[in-house]
Amino acid sequence: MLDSVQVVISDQPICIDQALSFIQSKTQGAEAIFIGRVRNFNQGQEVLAIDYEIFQPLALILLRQFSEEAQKKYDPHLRICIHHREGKLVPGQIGMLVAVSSPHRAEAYAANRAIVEAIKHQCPIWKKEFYSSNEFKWLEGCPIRHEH
Amino acid sequence: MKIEVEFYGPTKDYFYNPVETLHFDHPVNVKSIKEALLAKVKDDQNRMYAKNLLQISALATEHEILSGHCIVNKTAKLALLPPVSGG
Repeated sequence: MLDSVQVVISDQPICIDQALSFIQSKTQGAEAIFIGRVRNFNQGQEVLAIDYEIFQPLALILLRQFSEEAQKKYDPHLRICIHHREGKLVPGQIGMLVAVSSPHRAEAYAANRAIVEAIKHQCPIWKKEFYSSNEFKWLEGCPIRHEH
Repeated sequence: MKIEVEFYGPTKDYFYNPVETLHFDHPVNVKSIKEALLAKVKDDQNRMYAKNLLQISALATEHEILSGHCIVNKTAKLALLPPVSGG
């Protein structure tokens, strides 16, 4: 399954075309793409930038795990590409891209959603927002499940 | 036994250094490591906030998240992972 999964964490801009070319195949009739961009406002404040911090070794392992779990749950033929930025981004820039292709649309939609939610709830990534008021703040997040 | 703990996200704000080194003469569980970290918080004013954040943070190696029952019995490099906000 692993050659059907691509996971990238980088401080370089995310290339949508590269992700699409990875998931496209003549066997795949459906493609679902989620793109998360930096917003210029949050919680009543004008956002100038977001700094993404990532515990990269574990994040890369978990992103692959999320992909493999989606293949097991939805369709072993899924092709999955996950790109996440680290470092400082300004509004409008892409922070995360999750692209999934499958023979049929239902599995592509469902798997894409599941992977995005897993990243938001389980992947060791943190956002620090910088505001026009010269303040900055770590965004509140979801505790990683570890009581097993 | 030496355990190095690297801080991520907002946990960094509560400690003097980006990495703290803890020394134990016996195997320790995750709770004990967090208690030892709490003693190294940089000032008393922050101790209650730090305690709350430590309680909901996970400890991990580069390969896995440690369960609450995990026992660390050898020198290790760990990361302290507060609630996450990726995407």
